[in-house]
Amino acid sequence: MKRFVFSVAAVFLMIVFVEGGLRIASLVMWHFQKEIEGKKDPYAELFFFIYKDKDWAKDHFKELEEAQKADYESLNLWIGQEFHGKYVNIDSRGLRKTWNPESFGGKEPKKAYVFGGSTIWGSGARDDYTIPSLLSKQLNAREPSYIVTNYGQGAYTFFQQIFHLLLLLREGQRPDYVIFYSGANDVLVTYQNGKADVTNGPTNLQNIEEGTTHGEEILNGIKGLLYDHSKIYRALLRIVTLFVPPTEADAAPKYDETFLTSLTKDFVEFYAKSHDLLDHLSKIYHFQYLSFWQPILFTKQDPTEEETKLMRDPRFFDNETLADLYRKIGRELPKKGFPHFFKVSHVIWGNGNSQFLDWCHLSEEGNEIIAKKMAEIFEKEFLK
Amino acid sequence: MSPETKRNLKFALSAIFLFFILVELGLHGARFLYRLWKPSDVWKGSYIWSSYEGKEWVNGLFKETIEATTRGYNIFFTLWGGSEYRGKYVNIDSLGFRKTWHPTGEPLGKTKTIYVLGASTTWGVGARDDYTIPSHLAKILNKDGYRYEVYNYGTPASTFIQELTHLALLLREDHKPDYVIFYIGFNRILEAYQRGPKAMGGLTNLGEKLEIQSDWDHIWVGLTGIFRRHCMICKTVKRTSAFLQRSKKDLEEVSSEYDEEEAKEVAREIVEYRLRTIELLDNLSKAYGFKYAIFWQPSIFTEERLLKEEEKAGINPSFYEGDLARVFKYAIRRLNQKSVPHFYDLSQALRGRQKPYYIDFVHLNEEGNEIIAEKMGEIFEKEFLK
Repeated sequence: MKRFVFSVAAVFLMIVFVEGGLRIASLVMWHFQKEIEGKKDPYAELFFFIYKDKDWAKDHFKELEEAQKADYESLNLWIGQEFHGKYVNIDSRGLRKTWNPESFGGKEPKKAYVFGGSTIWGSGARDDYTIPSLLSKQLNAREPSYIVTNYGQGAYTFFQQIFHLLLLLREGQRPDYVIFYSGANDVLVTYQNGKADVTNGPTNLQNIEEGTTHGEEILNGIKGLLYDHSKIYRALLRIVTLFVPPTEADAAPKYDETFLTSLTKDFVEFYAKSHDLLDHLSKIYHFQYLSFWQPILFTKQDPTEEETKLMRDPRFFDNETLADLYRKIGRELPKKGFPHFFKVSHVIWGNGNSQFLDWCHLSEEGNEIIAKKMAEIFEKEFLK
Repeated sequence: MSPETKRNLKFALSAIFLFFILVELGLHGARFLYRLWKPSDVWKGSYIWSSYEGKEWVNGLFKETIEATTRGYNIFFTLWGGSEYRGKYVNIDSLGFRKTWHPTGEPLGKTKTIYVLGASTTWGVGARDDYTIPSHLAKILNKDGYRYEVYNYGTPASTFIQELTHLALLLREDHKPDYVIFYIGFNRILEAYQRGPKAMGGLTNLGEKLEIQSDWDHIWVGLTGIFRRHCMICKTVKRTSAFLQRSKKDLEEVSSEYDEEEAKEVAREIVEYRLRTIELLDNLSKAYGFKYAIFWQPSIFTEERLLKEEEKAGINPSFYEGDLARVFKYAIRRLNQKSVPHFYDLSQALRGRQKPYYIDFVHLNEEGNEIIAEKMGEIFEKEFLK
């Protein structure tokens, strides 16, 4: 009995020592890393290249991390939680703060709703420099006449944006103009799922509903606790990743030309149906709309040196396949002649600067270029 | 602690532990034997058995219903149901929808399509394929010739807003119904009663699942889930306590306790919410060129009198007399006052019944479905055909 107790205590002590040792090692490494911040992680270095002269960037990203919590709203929509920071503010409705004129000189302003994913929400930009804020500045430059609302929510697809609008209309909201900015999430989910009619966006809610038994739930909790608190567990995970190649399910899919062509055809059909519903809604509720096809890094014709390096980061998709699909879809969509559809995927080319923070989010300067183009089209379509 | 105390303590703890194990095993064994002895009684706890007097197919029906409705999950609407299923009494097609009776033979000219949307009462819990409300309606409307194709788009646990979103999605997919019928009432009131008037996720609790955030939450949910599912002692204690506290609400999910004014306010908000959804439906009907009718379903909560069988079997009178019944009554009264176009109150359709049509709070047996379908058919003809 004594031997047994001794053995258990010895194993326990060994685990405690190894854990303690790893913690100390990690602390030393972290201290050392602080001196050369950014250099250890090439991706972080590239990501922060855009922000190298911006003294607000560090606080901004801290706030961004804290602000990115969402409440599940049902009907497969989720809405951000209220948050107040210096650079990132989310109101009680879960919407990102947008710059708008303080007064409209006694006139009733026209309401413009902007829908999109995180690129519209403004990941990587301060409140006043998101696309909707910059669009508001453009539209109100001559005379304050528009109040712009940012309905961007992380990971939303065009399909979800339209159903979000549908629910707002049901609530009695009546916009004068509705602007959609989509492409990245839509093509990403199509690429990830290998089919176009995906309604639940890039987050896989289905797994939450279908996939977890009570046992799995407990296991997930234990794994999470170990991951958060045990250096041994993390070290073991790293070792396993080194020796075990990713399974086919984990690997980013690569599709051949024939499959990509058929996927493109399906995507265009799916997109057309959403556009048709939007068109019907605009007639029922008397609003005018614009639908913009957004730029992504992989299709940029003249990437800068930093952006080229960013493209090599193989994180969760095969860049070439995704780029190929995006290009094909981007070529086919305008051929369909959707009303009020505009490709702005090329407008950030040709000025020699880096604009991408990652594969789809833009810097504040990039947002400004997009907002200017949107305002130009808005004026041409609706005001002349 | 003296060695003797230690020994006694060890013995006492082991005895308690063993006692629980034996009781648990005993209860599992008793349940197993009871099911072997009387398999048909398994349903008796959940449904008003006398509604199925003399129907030998009822066990097969409920077995298939459970198999069919626990298979798929349509994530967009947070609805369940949806995978193809083939049974003797319950059939779900490849698109995930319940089979509806269709007339045979050649149609008389151009057929019109009718979509029936609703929750499990429309889907047909408690009825065979050919005896759901949509099937009965198809038989009634096609009595003297073949003119209508009726489709059952009922999805269990859904609410009106989900059903309308479902319709919007069908319209987006180029479906062009001539008529759309909604059979609604129960789920929305229950949802609003449980989770507040603005909730709109239906009765499935996906939202709650997504709110599980910490690792400790995951472990807790897993452990309590295992206990809830497998621990017979826990189940017995829960049932006994529910039995002893019959004067209180014993449905655990019904947690709200409203006073008169609060119940009125909840009903008012439910109606306002519903009117906005009806306005959207009205707009969609104009844009897509279909006609529609909304039927408010009967439920135990709006009945003035319960049959003895209904009181005895499965329906707790205290629940029936409670706040939920009050919210139901206020809501339907308010809706009727609003004179909403194409809205028909069928909450009194089973009034004066001499035999049980309810199989639980809201689902009807096949005869009950037929009565509802007849009323619908009557209104349909008056509204759209004359």
